[in-house]
Amino acid sequence: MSHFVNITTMIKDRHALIRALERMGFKGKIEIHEKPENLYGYQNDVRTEKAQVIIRRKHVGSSSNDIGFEQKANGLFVAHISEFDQGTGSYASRTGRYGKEWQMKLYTWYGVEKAKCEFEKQGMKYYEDVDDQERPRLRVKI
Amino acid sequence: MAELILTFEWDGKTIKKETKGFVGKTCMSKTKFIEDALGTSEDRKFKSEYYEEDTNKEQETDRLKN
Repeated sequence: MSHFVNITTMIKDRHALIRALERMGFKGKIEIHEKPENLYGYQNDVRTEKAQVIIRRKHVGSSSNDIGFEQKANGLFVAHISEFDQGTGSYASRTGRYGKEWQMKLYTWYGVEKAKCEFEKQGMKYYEDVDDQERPRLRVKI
Repeated sequence: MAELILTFEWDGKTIKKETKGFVGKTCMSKTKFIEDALGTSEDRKFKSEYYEEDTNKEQETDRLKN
């Protein structure tokens, strides 16, 4: 054995983000655009936010708004999720399905999928399982 | 054969990277690509094996000298 390191995840890879969203139940429900497209609210109103990776509100839930991921100039993706869907701000009294817990899960799956993409690029075979605390784990022989 | 193990915390931020079976500093050079791809690395802790000499490398150097 030789070293441990903690790595803080940052979402930069569109392909891995899409794979992570698919793991969260949105397979076949994700729009992908080269340029940022408009996001729409629950009344079909155009929102000020735009995004390249979009889940339209019909897939998000009843009375929901579009969820979008916008890639900024620094390469990082920023999530646009309404307060209603997050259960924050004026909607703090309701439980939003896409709040902090959902976002943490997405970041976790993004990390797993991004690592798998890198191993595939390098031609490395990986084994995916969970550890004794049910945390996702990847093992690779080098 | 050496092994790289990644464990993903459900906090969405932290990935623990552990290397096994590497001798000396090769663990860093051979697995750095994954740190670069995933995000920023912090809180690095080296195990005792990191400070051991890479005997294969030494033998190779000796052969080149001879």
